Amino acid sequence: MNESQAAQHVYAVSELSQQVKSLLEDEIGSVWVEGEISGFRPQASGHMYFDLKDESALINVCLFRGSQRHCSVLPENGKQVKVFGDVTSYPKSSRYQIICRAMEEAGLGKLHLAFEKLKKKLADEGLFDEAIKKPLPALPLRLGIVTSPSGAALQDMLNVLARRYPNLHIRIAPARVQGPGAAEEIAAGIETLNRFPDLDVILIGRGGGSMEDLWAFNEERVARAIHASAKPVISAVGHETDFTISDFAADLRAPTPSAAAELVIGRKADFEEQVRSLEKRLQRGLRDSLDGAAQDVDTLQDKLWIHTRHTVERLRSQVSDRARRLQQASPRAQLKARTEAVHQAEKRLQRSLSGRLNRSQHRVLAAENRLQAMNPAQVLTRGYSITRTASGRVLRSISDVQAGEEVSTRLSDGHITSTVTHREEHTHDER
Amino acid sequence: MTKDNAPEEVSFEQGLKRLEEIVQSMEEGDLSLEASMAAFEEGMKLVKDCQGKLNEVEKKIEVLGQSDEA
Repeated sequence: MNESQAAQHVYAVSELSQQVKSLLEDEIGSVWVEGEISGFRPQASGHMYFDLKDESALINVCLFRGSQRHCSVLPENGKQVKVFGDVTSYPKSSRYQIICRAMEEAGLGKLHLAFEKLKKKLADEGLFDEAIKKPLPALPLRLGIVTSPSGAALQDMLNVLARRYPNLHIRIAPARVQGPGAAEEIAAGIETLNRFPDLDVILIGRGGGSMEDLWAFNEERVARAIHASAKPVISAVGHETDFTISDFAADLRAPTPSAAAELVIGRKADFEEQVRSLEKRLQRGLRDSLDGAAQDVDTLQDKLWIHTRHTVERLRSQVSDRARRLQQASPRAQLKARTEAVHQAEKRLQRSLSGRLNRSQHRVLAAENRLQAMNPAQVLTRGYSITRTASGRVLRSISDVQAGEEVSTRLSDGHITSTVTHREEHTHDER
Repeated sequence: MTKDNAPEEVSFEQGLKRLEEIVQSMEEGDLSLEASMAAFEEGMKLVKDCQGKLNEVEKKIEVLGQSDEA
């Protein structure tokens, strides 16, 4: 509208400013805007101010401290970013700006796409196949490292390696690890190290950073150099959560450069202990073998001794047995034996005879005694006498003699002659 | 130095593996005395070889060729 039409309503300054503000907030409000950071100036308060620009325009951005946690990247001059924020203006100064509520790196989408595309292409070619990954040698005393010679990653690796294994030969192929030309230098480093015949393993890597910082390790050039390497390659790029194309192409991925140093070689002390322990077992094994053999000899010796003694005993008893039998069979022996037998028979005979004799003698003696007892002569000693007539008739009764007859009486020691003077018969009671 | 992992034909790894085999066969106890002694001899030789390999290289750190760049 022209000047006179506009004069219908005359604004107050604050009124106009307020309307501009409302217009911006209602009509535009919250937006995502991409541009390059410039004029970055942090404040002591912790709030940050910078400009977002492109070839022909510039907008002020205000990033309060509280919103910084929603930013995946911090402001840096020259950085391409995407800002999400509220478009507003300050009536007091009529400046419009964006109150930033979130910020991320711009072009990330493009990078992600390129990453996925290359990853698929190389995977399809078989560069990432498990089957072609080379095994790492157990004792790689000669290492090659492709990294920035002034970076912290190299120092970390050298420190870890020195602690684990003091005597290593390490060749460092210096290379830029970000920015233009970095991928070429990394690839060249791998190729250079491959030319040393006395080199066991190559490590490539760098410290943490943004996807853009690590981008050299996502380049095809590096992946192909790894693939072409005759020596095993360990890739150690960024932090644990960063995965790059070189990680997939390498023979081993380490989460960080320090981890690579731990994975590439064991501790020297552990190796020495392993060998020492085997040596001890070897010595013990021999000692046990010798002991076992010595025991076997002793056992056999005992057995031999026992067996021999038994055999000797047996033979000896056989010999003495034969000798005895031989002796027994000889004439002298026979004679002796027979004589002996006769003697024995004689003795037996004698014994039996004397036995008999004794018994007979006994009977005779006994009979003799009885006889003696009945011997008239014995009776005579007891007071009895035998009287005979002159004709010799023994007087048994009074009728055997007359008075006046001469009789002879035999006594034990002689006889007397007497004349019968009287005869008297005893009554029955007196007999 | 012709091979890429060690000057000798047998690598440290192979030597160690062979040494373990020998020790195991001795510990199983089925070897004759003669075989035990032969195994012991081979084993001790391997022990010496392995220890030698662990100390084969002298400590050396070198930055190759061209100019250093950040």
